[in-house]
Amino acid sequence: MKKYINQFIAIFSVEIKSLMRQAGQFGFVIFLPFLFSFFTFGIGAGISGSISLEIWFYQLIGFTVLTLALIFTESSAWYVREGLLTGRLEYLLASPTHPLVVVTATALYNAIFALLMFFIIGFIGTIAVYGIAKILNFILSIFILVLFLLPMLGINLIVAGLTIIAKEPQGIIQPINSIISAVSGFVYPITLLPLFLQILGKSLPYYYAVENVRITITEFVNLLYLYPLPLLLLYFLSGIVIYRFLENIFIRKRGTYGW
Amino acid sequence: MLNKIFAEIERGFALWKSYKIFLISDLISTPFWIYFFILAILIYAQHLLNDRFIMTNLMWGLFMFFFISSFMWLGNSVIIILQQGIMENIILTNTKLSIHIFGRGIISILDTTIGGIIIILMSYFTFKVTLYIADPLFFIIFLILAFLFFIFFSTIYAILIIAVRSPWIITNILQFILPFFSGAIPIQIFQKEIAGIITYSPLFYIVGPVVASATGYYIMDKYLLLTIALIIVLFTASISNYLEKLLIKKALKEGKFSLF
Repeated sequence: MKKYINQFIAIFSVEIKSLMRQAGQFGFVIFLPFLFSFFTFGIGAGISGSISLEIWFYQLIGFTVLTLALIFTESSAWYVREGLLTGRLEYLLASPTHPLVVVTATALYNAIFALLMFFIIGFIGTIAVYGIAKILNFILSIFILVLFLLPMLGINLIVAGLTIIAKEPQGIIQPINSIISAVSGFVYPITLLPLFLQILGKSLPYYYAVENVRITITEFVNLLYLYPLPLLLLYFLSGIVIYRFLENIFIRKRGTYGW
Repeated sequence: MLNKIFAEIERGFALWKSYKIFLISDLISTPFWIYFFILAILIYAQHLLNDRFIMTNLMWGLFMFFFISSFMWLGNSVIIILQQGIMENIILTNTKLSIHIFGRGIISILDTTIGGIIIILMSYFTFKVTLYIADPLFFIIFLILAFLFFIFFSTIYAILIIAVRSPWIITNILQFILPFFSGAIPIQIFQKEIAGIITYSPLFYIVGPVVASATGYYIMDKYLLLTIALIIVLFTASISNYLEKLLIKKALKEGKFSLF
């Protein structure tokens, strides 16, 4: 057990050190949801002639969860890709480090990164629009968000597995990101979409994550809305199974990546 | 000179053909991004979703948004050219940076064309917009002028950010701000005060006419717009040429690529 804890701490601390070296990048990621929400707010206000801070807040939270979702979707894929390019992946696979330890350690790092980002942006947004009245709701919403990180991690692992086949993550990530962004109702209600896209949106965990987070902040936590969570955990389980399957077939048995 | 231009165009095509996976990924992702951008903006005015005139304008706005964005990333790519040591080869072969960018611009224009066709078809089927181009001749003329302008603009942009440590941050921000202040989203759908501000931007006389010729809604005489656009393109070309010479001079003298 001590061995696994040491492996976990080693990987986690490497990721944290890497974050410390790229503080500017972290600052930019925090800035992004503000940039996008002000961009649509500016155009929207310019077109409609009225200003709606509630819609701005709706989109700010949406863009924040979207940024977080995209980080969670693609981080392992880039981890695999960079490992491939630098040769780090070979060392990692040859070492006695269990793949699940690697996944859990990087997931924890990503979760801390994402939640810190959500806390900073959400806190500023909540104070700006609702004052301190909704701060407790906002803090509660962070716990709700944590619940939905596991199914997102499952999709992350599936994408990482697909990267082993395709070698180049960009070609896979780009379509997946666009689909997730468009159908999950991050910055507009999914009722504006055609029915088949609504169904697609509701089959992914992101829709439930962003809706529950927003409802918790603006109203209160409603356990009824959390009903799909146990089902969504299937994403996490399938993520592990698919990733391990592709890793075994392509890397461990053939010793190669891709077809 | 012509040989160099054709060599760069050929190289652009060769590069474009070698990135098949990106082509497929663009084909899949573009329609979804269209939904995302249009609905992200129209959440503020949902009743406009049924307004064919507004939706047609927004469709062309998105087309120009993709156009500008791809040229901004083209400028950004010069940093990679520098990091890979290609810049030294460009100087050694006595090729101008703007001509080199022209070759890569071919990729941008092909991507924009494919993305543009998808945008137009998607908007037609889902938002019921008007498909025809109101003034095809002037649309092509203004599009060529916009292409030339953004080649020089990308060169200037690349020279200015060449020594920046994380240029992608600036590019990411500018790719959203520039279309907004360039008339990519037609000013007639904005409130009058905001529309007034946008007309002060020089980019408005490059990007705005492309959208105007497509929709047929010109805010001033089209020949006057053409004259202004031509002057701006020539002016940008001369600035680009001057800065490029300055950059090369400094690079040869001081051994580093930076104006500052």
